[in-house]
Amino acid sequence: MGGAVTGSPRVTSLTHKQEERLREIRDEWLAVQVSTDLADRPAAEEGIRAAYEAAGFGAPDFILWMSSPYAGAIAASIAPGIICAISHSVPDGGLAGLGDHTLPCGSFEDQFDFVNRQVRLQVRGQVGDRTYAPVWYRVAGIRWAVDDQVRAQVDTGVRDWVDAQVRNPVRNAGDQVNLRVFTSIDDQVRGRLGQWRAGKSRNEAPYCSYAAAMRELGVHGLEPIAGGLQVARHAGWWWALEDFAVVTDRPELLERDIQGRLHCASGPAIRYRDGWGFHAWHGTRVPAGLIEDEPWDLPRIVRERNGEVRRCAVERAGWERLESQLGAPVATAPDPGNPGRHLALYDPPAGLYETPVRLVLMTNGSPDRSGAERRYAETVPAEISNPLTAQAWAYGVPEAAYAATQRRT
Amino acid sequence: MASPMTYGQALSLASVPVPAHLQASAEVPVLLGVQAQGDLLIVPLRMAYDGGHRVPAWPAGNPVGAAGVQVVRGESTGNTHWLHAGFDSPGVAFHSAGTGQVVGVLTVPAGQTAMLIHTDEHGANGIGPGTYEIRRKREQAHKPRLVED
Repeated sequence: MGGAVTGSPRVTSLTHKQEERLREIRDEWLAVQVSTDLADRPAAEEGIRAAYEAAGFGAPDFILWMSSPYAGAIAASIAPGIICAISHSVPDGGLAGLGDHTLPCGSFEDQFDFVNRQVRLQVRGQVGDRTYAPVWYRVAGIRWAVDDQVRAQVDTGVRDWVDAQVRNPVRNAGDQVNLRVFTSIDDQVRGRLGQWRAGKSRNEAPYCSYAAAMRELGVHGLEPIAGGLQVARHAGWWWALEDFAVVTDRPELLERDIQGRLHCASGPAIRYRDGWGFHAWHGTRVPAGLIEDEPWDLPRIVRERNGEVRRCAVERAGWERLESQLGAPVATAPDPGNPGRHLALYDPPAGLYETPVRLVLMTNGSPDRSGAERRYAETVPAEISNPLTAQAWAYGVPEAAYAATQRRT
Repeated sequence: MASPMTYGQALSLASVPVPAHLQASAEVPVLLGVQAQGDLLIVPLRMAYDGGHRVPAWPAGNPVGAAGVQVVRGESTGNTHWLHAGFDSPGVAFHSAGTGQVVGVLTVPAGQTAMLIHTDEHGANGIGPGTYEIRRKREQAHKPRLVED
């Protein structure tokens, strides 16, 4: 990797047209991050081979395809052992897309065996005494050399603009999905596989968007990351190990809310073609039953140990349904400025909240878009004994001020 | 004296269609007392503090201008509250107070009006002459935190 081309001009500022083009690049990578298209396997494999070469390795002997990052994580962790153990028969026939089969439901052991079989069947050829070590740090390490090129050719102000306008928006959007996928896999395999080959959250898109932006600005010496960019554009997570790679397909279903968080009120929020996936409510992973079953009642909600999941269950059920399960209110009062509506103060059931609180229930001042009156609940200190005091506390004003509310919209 | 403004006129300031439950030709009530819009409370300054607490010396604020001021951003919904001057109200000013419970301080000179407009269902609240704090709610659970609209 040579230095910057001598005499090439530094990029010191951006034209309006360049800014527009860079925003387009940002949007391209935002779309790539949430794509549910089938991976382009030849393109991804070509990218993988180029990435290995750029890192100074020969092309990998095997490229193993799995249909989900979960199966991929297991495969990347167990494949070295399998490859060492396999004896030298070369199966005939082509490399069938065996990673496409469906993960069995049931125990981790069943799924482990399934992936074990998949890897064995996809691997052919030689056995060695080699130890297979993750070489991701070398393949990813290309970045640092590339960053040197960028620093040498692009002024700080421009780099900061690209970070703020391209890379960070891509990262923030991507994190919404990738961190949930990562922790979901981690929860399921940690303790079974020990240190699985997680690396980081495996989302290459933010860095790719940054590199693509720099390429667009004419920065030289970026060829080494071309392979990595190509894989990120055409496939899902992947792992680079010595002599072989594990690469995964993209999800077949990915549902998000208006803020870009994983969310689906009618089924899994994310699902891959081997069946792996999970449910989510406005960015929180939740058990399937929270979405698929009838909304939980208060006793069921209180049994849930995770506070964030409880909050989701409450939101899904809605206070219109749950209020009657609270028992008698501590006190009620007409809501000033909100004619015909009332406030109600309750003691919540034990275990619903982590600290002592009371709940004040109120009705919206304007119907929502569906025309519905909604009931909302907010928490206030447990010492509060009437709903007007509760609302006044919530706004931080004297009770007389809240009581004087003339109009609520 | 500022002319009255209808819902249709007020909501067009924020480029928002009139919600189904409101009549576009109806006048937006202009009030001088305490009003609520979603999670926000508009409180005359003298009423926001009782005897035991000193009223803060808020700075005067800047004129809201033709584009209005985005008073607060609704995180969960993407909806926002916009503050605009009513008709013939060039002196309406807003001081943005930061991220605490007081969102900001609104000043409406004599004879003028301000409009607080919501981009979704809450419609508009008209505010007459006076100085007001616009406050957001807080919750107790876990520790007191600000309610997201």
